[in-house]
Amino acid sequence: MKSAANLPLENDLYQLIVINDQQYALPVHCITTVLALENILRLPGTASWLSGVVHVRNAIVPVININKLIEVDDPAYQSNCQLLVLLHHPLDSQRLLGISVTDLTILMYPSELAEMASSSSTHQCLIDSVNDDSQQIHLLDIANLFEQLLQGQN
Amino acid sequence: MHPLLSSATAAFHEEALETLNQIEDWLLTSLDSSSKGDAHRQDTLRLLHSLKGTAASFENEAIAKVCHAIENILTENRQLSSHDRDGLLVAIDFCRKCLSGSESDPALQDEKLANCLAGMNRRDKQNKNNRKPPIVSEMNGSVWQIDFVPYPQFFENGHDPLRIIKSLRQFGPVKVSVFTDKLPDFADFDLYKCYLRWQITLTAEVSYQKIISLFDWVKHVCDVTVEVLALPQSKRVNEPNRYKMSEANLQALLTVSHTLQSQLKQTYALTNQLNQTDKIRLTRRNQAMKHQQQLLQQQLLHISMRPLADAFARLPRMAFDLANKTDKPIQLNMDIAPIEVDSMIVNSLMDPLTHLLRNTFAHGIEPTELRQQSGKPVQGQIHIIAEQVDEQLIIRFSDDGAGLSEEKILAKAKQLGGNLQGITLDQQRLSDWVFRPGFSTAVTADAISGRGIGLDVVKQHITDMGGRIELISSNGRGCCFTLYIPVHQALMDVQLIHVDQQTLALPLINVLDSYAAESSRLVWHRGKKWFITDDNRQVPLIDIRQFLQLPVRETDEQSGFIVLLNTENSVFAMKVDSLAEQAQLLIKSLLPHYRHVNGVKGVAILNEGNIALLIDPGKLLMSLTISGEQ
Repeated sequence: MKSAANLPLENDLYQLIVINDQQYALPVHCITTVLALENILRLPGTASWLSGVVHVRNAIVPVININKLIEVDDPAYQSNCQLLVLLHHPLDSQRLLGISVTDLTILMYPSELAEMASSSSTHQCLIDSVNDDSQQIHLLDIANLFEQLLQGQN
Repeated sequence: MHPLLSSATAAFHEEALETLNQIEDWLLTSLDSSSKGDAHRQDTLRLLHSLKGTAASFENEAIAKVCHAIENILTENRQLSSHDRDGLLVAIDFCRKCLSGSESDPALQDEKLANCLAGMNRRDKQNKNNRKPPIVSEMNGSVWQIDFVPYPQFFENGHDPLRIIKSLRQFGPVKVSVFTDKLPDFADFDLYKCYLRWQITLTAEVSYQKIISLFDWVKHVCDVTVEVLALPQSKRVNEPNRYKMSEANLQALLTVSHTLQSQLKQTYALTNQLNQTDKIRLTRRNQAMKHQQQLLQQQLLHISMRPLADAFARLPRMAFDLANKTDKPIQLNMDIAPIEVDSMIVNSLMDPLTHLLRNTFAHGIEPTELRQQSGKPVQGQIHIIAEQVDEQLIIRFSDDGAGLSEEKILAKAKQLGGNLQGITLDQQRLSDWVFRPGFSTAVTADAISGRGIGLDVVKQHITDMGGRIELISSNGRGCCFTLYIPVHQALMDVQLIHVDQQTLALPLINVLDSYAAESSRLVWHRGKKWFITDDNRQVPLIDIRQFLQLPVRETDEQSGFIVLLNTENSVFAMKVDSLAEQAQLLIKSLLPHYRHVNGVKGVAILNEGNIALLIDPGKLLMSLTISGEQ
């Protein structure tokens, strides 16, 4: 697992998002757009962390509930996310996925995240977790999220 | 050059090339196909005429002159010989070169133009004595102009022009103009003579034969001319677009449409803050705008689709030229499914198909003498079949040529450093070698082959599309390349159904019938529910609610509908809450952004912009059978 202290100190920013009180950091360069989350179609027989698919930008895009994926929330918990953050793969702008979020908060530089105390995180979709006062911020591994969609367990 | 003029010239070049392709297509099929009749010739003449005019306005006199010469030939020679066709194809190639600007020396271009025109004139003169009457019987149209000129003695046998005009109404609406210019002075008027003539415009998709048959009884006492003013709808929609749109433009417009949709929803939420009158007014406007936005969305989604046949359009001409160049006569048989696929697939297929065809001429089809010696027909056969099976486009490209030469491939492989001592190459290894970059068994490089970049390019293109290629070869009998390409969107006829407020789509091809639910036709047998069909068969009744993971609900057996579905090897029934319309919808695959989901064929884009699951009946039945439901 990479450490927050080793994050590239380039000018790229991180967008903090909130999903049911849990904070995550997303690299801004992977964010394509932010939309209202609507017309989501549930796929039968799929994992609880896959909220369904939406039709965005002429593509059928899967929408992930991150809290359920990394088991912050119970699979049966009904989340109330109103926003959809559309992300593209760091190496392929044609590959898209959506994350359902409650809110978008502030932008942070990697250096700011690197200054925070790192705490252990075990999920493969997280690069690291840092402590901001009493709150934990999970840094998402975007490439790994895409891998989950194609190869992860149902 | 002024930017506006530059873009106008570019547009002229693009349109001119498209027109030349259409004319070439007509020429290549006009001799072989009897289905392309006079209407197509008229279309070609119109295209030529328009190209001539545009070329002249862009001061491209060479193209204008060639078009004029072709027009003369097509107008005067009703039946083109193969010599005519060769001459006209040379003329078309000359025009293409003019457009590409590959001939920079004006003197040389003038000389080539003179040769081209002389060649056509020679052939034209040779054929002038062999003119045949026009073939009008194959004409079809949707708007017709009929000039009906009875002779003065028309009434003598009791014929009634009014009855004939009325009978035309059986085909569609008619507009009649009567011409009275032949009417004599009253003193000279003969009650038994016909002085009138009529021009009738008939709007109906009907054949020439049907119209002219109404005049059969009177044809000896009148002149009748029937002309097509407009082609049937089916032919018009096949005409190529004059407008082009890049993928980036399309994506931009789709984003605008989505944003518009989102903003309309937000505007609607604001109506609650208005007084009742304003709320009603704004709601109406909002609904009208929403409808327009949905239309825009649908149109944009359809723009991204293109007929699969477009990818194969250039092959007949290429095969014709290669056959002449290599002196290997062939028959190209193409069976292309009439489907529309993503434009990206059509564009990406053009190069690999070109390489496969060249490869077939270079290495597959043997010279005539060799074919005769091995007892094969002189004319080589190339078959291309393209169809969509599930989420794959399958293209089979086969020939009856020599097949892969294991001996030559082994020799070349050793030359390239392969350690193949004492090894016999199986099909897989043969394929591995022939698709390698730089691999060619040709001894010398010529215009068609030998550089070793053909099959490598084919494989690269197909792999880039996420597909794969297979090669099966039989020594002395030919080889077959099979291309498998994932299809991420297609148009499909579907039956929409509702289950628990959820809309689902069923492929119409799998729907056998539908019935209002009746408890008398549902039976329990061996612990399962069965439906009794009209012909008294018991077919399994599956629970779609269970597949959709919907909560269990006590349902009235008398409510809802039963849809009877067939799959490759079984028939089953499905109970649904209600049936909605049948429609042709754009279907998108869950790939490449997600993986395959059992029982789901894809996602249907509904007219209102929402999405619905497209059920795969075969996989659904299988998954429920495995899970023990059935």
